[in-house]
Amino acid sequence: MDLAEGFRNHKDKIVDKWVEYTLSTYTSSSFFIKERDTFANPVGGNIRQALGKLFVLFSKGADSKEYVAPLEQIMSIRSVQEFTPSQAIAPLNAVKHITREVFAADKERSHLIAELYDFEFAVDLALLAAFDIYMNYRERLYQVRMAEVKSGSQILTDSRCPSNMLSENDKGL
Amino acid sequence: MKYAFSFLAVIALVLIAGLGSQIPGMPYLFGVALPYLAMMIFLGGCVYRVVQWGKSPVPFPIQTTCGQGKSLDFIKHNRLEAPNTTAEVVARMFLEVVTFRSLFRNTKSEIYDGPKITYESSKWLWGFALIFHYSFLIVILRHMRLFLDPVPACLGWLEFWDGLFQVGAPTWYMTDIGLLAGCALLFGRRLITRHVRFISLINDYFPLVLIFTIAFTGILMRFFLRTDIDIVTIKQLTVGLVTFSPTIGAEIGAIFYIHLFLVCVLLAYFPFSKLMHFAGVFFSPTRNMKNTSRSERHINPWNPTIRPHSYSGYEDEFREFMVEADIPVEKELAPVKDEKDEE
Amino acid sequence: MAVPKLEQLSKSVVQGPSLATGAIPTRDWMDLPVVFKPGNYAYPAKKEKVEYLNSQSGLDFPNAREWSPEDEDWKLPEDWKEIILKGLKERLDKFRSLKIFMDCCVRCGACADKCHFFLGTGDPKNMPVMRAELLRSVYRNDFTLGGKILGKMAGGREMTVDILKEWFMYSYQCTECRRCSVFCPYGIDTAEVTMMMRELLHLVGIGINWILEPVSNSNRTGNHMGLQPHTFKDNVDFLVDDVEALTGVRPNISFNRKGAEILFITPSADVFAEPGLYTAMGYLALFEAIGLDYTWSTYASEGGNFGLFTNNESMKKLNAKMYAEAERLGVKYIIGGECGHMWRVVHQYMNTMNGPADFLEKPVSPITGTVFENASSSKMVHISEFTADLIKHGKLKFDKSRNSHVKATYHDSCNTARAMGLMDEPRYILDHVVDWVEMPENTIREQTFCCGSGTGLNTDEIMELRMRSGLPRANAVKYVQEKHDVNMLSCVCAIDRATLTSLMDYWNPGVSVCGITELVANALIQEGENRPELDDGFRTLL
Repeated sequence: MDLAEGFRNHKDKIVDKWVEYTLSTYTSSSFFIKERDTFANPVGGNIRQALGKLFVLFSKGADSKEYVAPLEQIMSIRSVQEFTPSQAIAPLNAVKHITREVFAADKERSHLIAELYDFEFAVDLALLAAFDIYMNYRERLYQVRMAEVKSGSQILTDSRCPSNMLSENDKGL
Repeated sequence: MKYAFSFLAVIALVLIAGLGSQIPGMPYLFGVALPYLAMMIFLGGCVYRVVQWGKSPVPFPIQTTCGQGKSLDFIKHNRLEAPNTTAEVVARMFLEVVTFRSLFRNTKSEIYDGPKITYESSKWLWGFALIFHYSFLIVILRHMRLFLDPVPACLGWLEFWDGLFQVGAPTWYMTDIGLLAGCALLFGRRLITRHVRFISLINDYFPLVLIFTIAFTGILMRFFLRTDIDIVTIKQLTVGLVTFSPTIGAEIGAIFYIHLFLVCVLLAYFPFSKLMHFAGVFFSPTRNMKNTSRSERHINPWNPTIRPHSYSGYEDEFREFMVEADIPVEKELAPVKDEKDEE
Repeated sequence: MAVPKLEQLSKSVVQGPSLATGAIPTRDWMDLPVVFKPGNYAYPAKKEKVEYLNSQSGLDFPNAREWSPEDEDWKLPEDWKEIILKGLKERLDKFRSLKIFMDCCVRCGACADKCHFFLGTGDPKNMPVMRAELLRSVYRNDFTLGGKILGKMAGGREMTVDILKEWFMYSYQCTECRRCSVFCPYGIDTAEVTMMMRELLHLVGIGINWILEPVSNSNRTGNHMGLQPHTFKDNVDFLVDDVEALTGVRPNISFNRKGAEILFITPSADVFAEPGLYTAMGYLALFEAIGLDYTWSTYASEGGNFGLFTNNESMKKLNAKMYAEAERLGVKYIIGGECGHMWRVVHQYMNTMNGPADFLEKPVSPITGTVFENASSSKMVHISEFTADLIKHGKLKFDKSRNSHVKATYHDSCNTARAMGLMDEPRYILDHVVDWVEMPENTIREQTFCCGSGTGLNTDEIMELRMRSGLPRANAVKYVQEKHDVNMLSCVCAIDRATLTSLMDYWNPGVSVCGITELVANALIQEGENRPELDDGFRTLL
């Protein structure tokens, strides 16, 4: 029983758990965990798809450049959600734990846990890349803000000067 | 648990009717008094609600256009989706009420590899709703046999088509199954679809459980518990009810009273619940208004008198700038007067 | 064996209630509180703006004060609860729509995944049915028999400050785009519900600055931007210079000119903010090419109407300027520029609120003689109707290759699509001037997705929220961008032009946003023109 086969056999299970974990802020009632039928939305959908791709990339030891596209798919969304930077990135890490958990639960494959070094290293690389990508998107967001100010739409209110936006006192007024 | 509570409520109702009707003298209450009372509440309640709606005016034309409006000759007008005449509105409403057209439009957002989100057509809800409502309608129509003497021929036709598959004896009607299935599907959907479960209230579960139980007791009566059920006695009672001379001849089994009592509860509950949507849909301004708001003036009975910030007030504030910028003004500046003042 | 530390990891993810994660909570919705934090609410209206509005005849904006949604105490008037319940009663008596929509919902959930705010944020309280339920639960409790007797069992809720806060949160996470009303089997229109919630909130002094400041600007100076007459004229004059530089033909324009045949009104953003100003240059070039006898007005220099996002009274007061100015100048009728919510007001409200416009004439195109029967009573014609008619009669000459740098797609604005049924006129125009493709079927026409920033939510303090709610629209654009190399998102809405630009910059860099008339002017062959090769159309820097 080699590792590649272990990944193949448990891919769906691991990805499902990973998606569920990433999407859940609330614990979902076990009655409704049948993921395939759950209500899909752009947030859930993009994340499901990207995590599926990432898992395949991790498990086959792909070049870390290949992580960028799926990571962007996730991080573009998470960087405009109400997360702190660490919160935005943390779920990526979860796949390490989930994989161990799933393998541990399978007696025939629990020995594979010892061989997960490369896989987990790939996750670490993705985590670092995700940080860059998160920052890119945050910066892009601020650029969008600045562009909006420059375009003149801001004149709708008195906050015409960009530095006004930095003023803490302004927000309650 | 909201849905569990609905079951409890209906079970309680069943017990009330089942036990209550066995007490001597009570059949008259369950067989005659309550049906009259329920019918009065139903009719009075529905009229009251509709009158209440009618009392509030429709201040603005807020039609929702779901297709191209009527404009230029060479732009194809979508008569059903952006109606311009009363006939077109009637057609739109007819299809809405009879075929649940808006639900037919339903889509479900789905994700495909790509990453692409598509908004695929999702007709489940539409299908469930059709099964439920049409089964219910035909079951009610079939019950007219109990109230009419002689029975009109068209009811015979209806029963013939409804029982076309000729399964069992007495023949099972398709709509019996349809009504049970419709309730079960709509109920199941509320439980299983996560977001629908989130929005569901007791008000949503209760009528489904109630109607399911009504259908179920009806079926029990017709197919399984026939011993105490003398159809002649029942018809005597029901015809008596509509002719205002009710009599309860021989003894009728408890199952009949349970069935009847639940129907009474449904009738009395009806006007005060979301079930009024059957009448409300006709009043919905987004659907029943013409898209002619620019060619015919709609009148708002309470249109308040509000004047704009006046032009003269505006010119007074900015006259100097306007003159300087060569924008025409109503009243020229009076510079001479200013000089005099200074002197 | 390694012990999974998921629990520990998850603690770093879950901090406080946030519904914006795509998960459906298992707790009852009535038990989920709202939490205001920077970025999830728009700034409250400034005290002096509220005071100014309150001083205007016909308007009522009480309880002007400094306050913040993040504060525990919102400084509400003491009798706030009576004010709200009385206000609700009054509105139930004034609007049949409200009564029907409160009574008829069966909570089938067909609307749920139709809302861009729900699709983008995943917050279940953003399902249209849920948004209405926030108000409906209070309605049930106080205005229906079942609610009065059974209370919470019948889905009723006693009005509390927390509910008021909830209303503020979610009535300002709805852009009144009416997409849900298309799918509702009873035509329940959440826009009506949102409008009522916002009206009620104003009764106790809760409003946002991005809406009330433009309203007060518009009242005083004639436009949302607060441009005074000379500045407004200067801005248009700049655009005249630009058009002359680009085409060699100087558009003839006039302001507040009595006796002009037509009054032209467009959102003021078009004469000030990019990329709207290219659309405004388009109007100038187009009207010059056909020699239209028209005038701009500085007094009625705003097509848009943020009153629509406030209450009926402000909407009426701001809108009244259009007819007042048309009457003062003695024009025959009005042409309106490209704008979404402006046309909601013009098409569905203006004639009723401020009509009848007996002093105007039935609109007839002076160039083609076409009578605009569909505007025979309100006497206001949409620029796309006007232009499409010109094209049909061959009055405009185009060189489509002048738009060869553009591969366009078309975004139906919510209001023009779902409130007036203006869908094929812009498409007819596009067919003649540019190479373009449609976005996926279920994201256009009456099913179009909102930009996510309408109804006065186009403010930068909620940029993240806007990006989330715009995700469904951006997703559809991304599809045509990848499949057909689309680089231009065209639309007929001024708010779209501003907000879709930001949306594209974030989700789909490389896609610009423009008005239809900009594309018309790009391709237009004018008499006497002396036009260099314009690689970027009207956006070319010379």
